[in-house]
Amino acid sequence: MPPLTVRLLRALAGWVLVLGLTAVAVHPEGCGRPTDEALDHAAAQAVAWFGANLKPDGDFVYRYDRERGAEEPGYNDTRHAGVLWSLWQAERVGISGAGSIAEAAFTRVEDRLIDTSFGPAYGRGSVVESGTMGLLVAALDERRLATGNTDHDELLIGLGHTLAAAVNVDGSVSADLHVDNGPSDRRSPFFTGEVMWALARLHLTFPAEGYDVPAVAIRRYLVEDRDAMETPWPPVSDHWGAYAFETMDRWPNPPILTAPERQWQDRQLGLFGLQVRYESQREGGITLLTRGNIALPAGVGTLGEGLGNYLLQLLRSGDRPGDHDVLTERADCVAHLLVGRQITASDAAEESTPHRSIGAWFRLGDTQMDDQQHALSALLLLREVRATPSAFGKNS
Amino acid sequence: MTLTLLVLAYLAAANPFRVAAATTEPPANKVLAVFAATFVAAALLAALIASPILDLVEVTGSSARIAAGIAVLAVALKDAIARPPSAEPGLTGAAHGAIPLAFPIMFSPAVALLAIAASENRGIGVALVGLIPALVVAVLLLAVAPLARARLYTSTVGLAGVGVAGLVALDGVYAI
Repeated sequence: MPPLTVRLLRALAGWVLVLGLTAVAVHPEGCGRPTDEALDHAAAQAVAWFGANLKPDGDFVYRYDRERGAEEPGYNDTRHAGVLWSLWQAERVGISGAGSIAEAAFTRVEDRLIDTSFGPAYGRGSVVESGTMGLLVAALDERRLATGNTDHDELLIGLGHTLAAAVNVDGSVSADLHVDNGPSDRRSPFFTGEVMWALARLHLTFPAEGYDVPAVAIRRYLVEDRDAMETPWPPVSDHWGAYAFETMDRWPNPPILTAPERQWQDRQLGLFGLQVRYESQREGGITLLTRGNIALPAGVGTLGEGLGNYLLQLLRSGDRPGDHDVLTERADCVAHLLVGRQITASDAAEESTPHRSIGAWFRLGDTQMDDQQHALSALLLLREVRATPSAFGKNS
Repeated sequence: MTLTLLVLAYLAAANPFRVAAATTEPPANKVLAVFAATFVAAALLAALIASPILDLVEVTGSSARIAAGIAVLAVALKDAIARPPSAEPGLTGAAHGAIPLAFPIMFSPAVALLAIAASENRGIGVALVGLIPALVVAVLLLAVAPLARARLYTSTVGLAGVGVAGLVALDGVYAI
């Protein structure tokens, strides 16, 4: 073989080697853009799962092992409140039956409302969790918007006072409130955003109550101090924070985005985007070795929630025009993953209790009610994004 | 990806000292012209097909930057530790500028992936403008060939390229 041919073949082999290395680092990303109808159907199926898995006492099936066909023990009040939020969110967009399921599930909450020196609280024993009450506030406020029913306004305002008591002078949020002794020193990576979101919502609904003050204090802490004080690792892609920012952006006099807030949002958007890209590379086969199993469906849902909230905010403001298309692409990718991974009736046809599976999302054979909750909220938000008039002058 | 990072990445990926190390005497102007034209044409082609090729392999522009960073890393490591290539065997006459000077010596897979990633991220214009410093340095070094200690310089750029590669990959990691 002529020496020049050998040289060129060796060069090509080098190219193949380098491109092979890059292929190990970057896999194909299985993304797409499901239709509006596919999103609506998936959301309706998730609501139907909650209806089919609601118990007489107002609890849902918390965790279910599909392979054994068995319900697993455990329950979580924070997640129960989260489910209520998602169901009333579904009710607000007209998904049939969502509101009545939520009303039935509210029984559990009514059984656990207690009075404290700060105000009413949702929980048991001598310690209540701020995040749980934050999500309950979001749920009841959403119910108010969905139904026009104001019968829980007194409770909402009272819970707002209790939540405000969990906000410390520096804007940090105590994860627990001791009924007798007040806020604890424990912090939660999620409760900070949940309480901020709840107070932000309450300020929209009850502007005279002054809930904007603690909400703004949390916002400053979240952006400027939280990572240094609480050192979360890996960094938190804070979907609850995204809900809060989106809500505060709808205040009559919304806070102006500061430079640190813009920087924080840059990082948040990057975290959401990176996780979507990574998750979309998990397509089974060889990627099981290089990327591992798919993430918890709840986790995938939170990516859609984070992206959906930021997109809503950006669509209204016209801010970050250069990021709009790529954010929409990532949000569509989340929707694609959720629609593709949801269990259909035909998937569950052979199961003894198909209603435990249809409309649910599983990882390694297990589903938990917050898998359906986050996925449902993400699908509804992404549908709302598509229906939102764009300040960029084109449809999203 | 900033233009500064892109310029540095192209310098690491194309490593003009690599092509200088392979040359023992100043090439004729025709050779230089063919070298420059081939190099730019190859990069232009990569930049032009960026979107369709990324769609085909289902890789987003953000992740393409990670891929480019990995490719720059591989090429930079090779430059840092391996002996630079030689000018022979290759085509004769003006075509010597195309093979082996432009390809395979200067137009590495890292240059191709950088052109693709930069084109998708910043557009074809920026992808090509970022290439100019590496090309100009290469032509200047060829014009004054042979260059003393060319291997040392090639290795040094390779070592620096390892760091630059990391920055390119991180740019993709932190992107949306």
